[in-house]
Amino acid sequence: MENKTDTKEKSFDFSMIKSSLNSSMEQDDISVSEDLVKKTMNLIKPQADSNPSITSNNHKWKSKLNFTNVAAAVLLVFLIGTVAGKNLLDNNMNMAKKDDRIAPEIGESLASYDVAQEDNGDYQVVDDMASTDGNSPLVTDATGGGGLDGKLPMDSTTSSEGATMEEAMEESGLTFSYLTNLEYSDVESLEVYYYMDNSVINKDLSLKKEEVFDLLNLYLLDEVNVSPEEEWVYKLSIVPSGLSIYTIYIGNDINISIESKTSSSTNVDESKNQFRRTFKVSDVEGLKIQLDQLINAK
Amino acid sequence: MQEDNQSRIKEEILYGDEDTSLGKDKEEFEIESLIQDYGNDVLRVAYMYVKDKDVAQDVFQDVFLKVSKNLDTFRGASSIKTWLIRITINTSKDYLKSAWTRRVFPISDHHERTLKAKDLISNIEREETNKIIRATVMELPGKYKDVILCFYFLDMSIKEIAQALNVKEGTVKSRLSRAKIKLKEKLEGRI
Repeated sequence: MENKTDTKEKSFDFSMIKSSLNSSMEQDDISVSEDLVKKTMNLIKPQADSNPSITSNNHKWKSKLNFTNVAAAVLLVFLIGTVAGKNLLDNNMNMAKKDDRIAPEIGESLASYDVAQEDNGDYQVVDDMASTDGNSPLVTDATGGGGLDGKLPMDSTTSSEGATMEEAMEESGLTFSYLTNLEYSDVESLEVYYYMDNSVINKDLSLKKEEVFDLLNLYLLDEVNVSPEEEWVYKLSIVPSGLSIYTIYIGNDINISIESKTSSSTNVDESKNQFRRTFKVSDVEGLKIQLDQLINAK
Repeated sequence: MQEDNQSRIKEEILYGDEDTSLGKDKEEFEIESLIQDYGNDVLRVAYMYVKDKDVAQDVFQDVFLKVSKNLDTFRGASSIKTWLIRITINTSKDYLKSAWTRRVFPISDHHERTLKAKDLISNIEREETNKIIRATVMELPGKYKDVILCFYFLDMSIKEIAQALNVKEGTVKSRLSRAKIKLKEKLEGRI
């Protein structure tokens, strides 16, 4: 096998990739021009904000920023209002659970609830979280719909900023607090883990729990049906006053794991005591940058 | 030259400047230096993902906008180049994921046609070879393209690639090995 691979690799000189790509792109004039540098620097300068003509090169991607964000915000507020109204009418028990943010933990599991498709929209909120030992913390599975607070991701430099109206509509999801029924006031301890110089650093962020929740709730989470990634850049371990531990793995996606506090021993069946769901946010890189700032802020 | 600039900029970012009144100008100067040193790399890597020159320029601007906004958060745990390339790859991928792009750009088809047409009229064997290599690298699956570009195009080390892509060094090595086989197979008989 080794030999086969070696033979294959010998016939193509991989070191020519660099010169080959560079020559090819130079020939097609894919190089940084003075004009591009100027435009970029103009964008970076603060006065660029008040002069939209500077961003003309960003035609489709950036020019619709203001309109899109405003329109998306209005739409989300509308959707949230409708969903909340529907919930209120349809299921008082569900609303009771939603309001009771102090005790989202085991023992308060509710029957599945659906806010099924409205005539004028296709949002759906389905609580289909399986239970830990039959009594699980609740996590709401959301497809479409707006976040509880209707906020869009904060970082305005993401690819989502120039999205069309349709994309803004697609870019829906729910906030972390809504999904987990957790508020910062419920949290007893909050720790972050991250890599630095090949070792894992652990910091207690309990004193910054409000800021961490504010940050997390700025990003709308959309569940995706993929296997959870093993790799993460930041891991947040949140221990609330209830019976569950929440772990958020932030890598290319966001994985939220909910574990019963009683399942920490090694002989438990993990599949029964731990749930892990994968979510996408529109700008996970922005989230990481802001989290990094928060971790390092004094 | 690039290394000198890099360590100077890194030092300035990490240790700062006491005179905050000069902060803005200094930041602009730093960004310009980064563009000078890594601009082509950023633009060309972006192009290899988005496959369109204008869009690559948009990504380029977005990358340096992000860099300017977040320069003060750069910890120096990795090199500036690694940081920049990481932002470039992520921004390019973000762009490709956007619904707008999916709807408006039939990028690959268009690009394939352009390349084939150009290849036909090209009489220079070298040029053809270069274009075939470029097209083949461009069409590699994302995770293989990431490592091939970082290792062979950007001369990054395994450690730097691991930092840029947020994966373990072992993962980089195995992906690189598979990517080479894949690339070799795709180029077989074409050059």
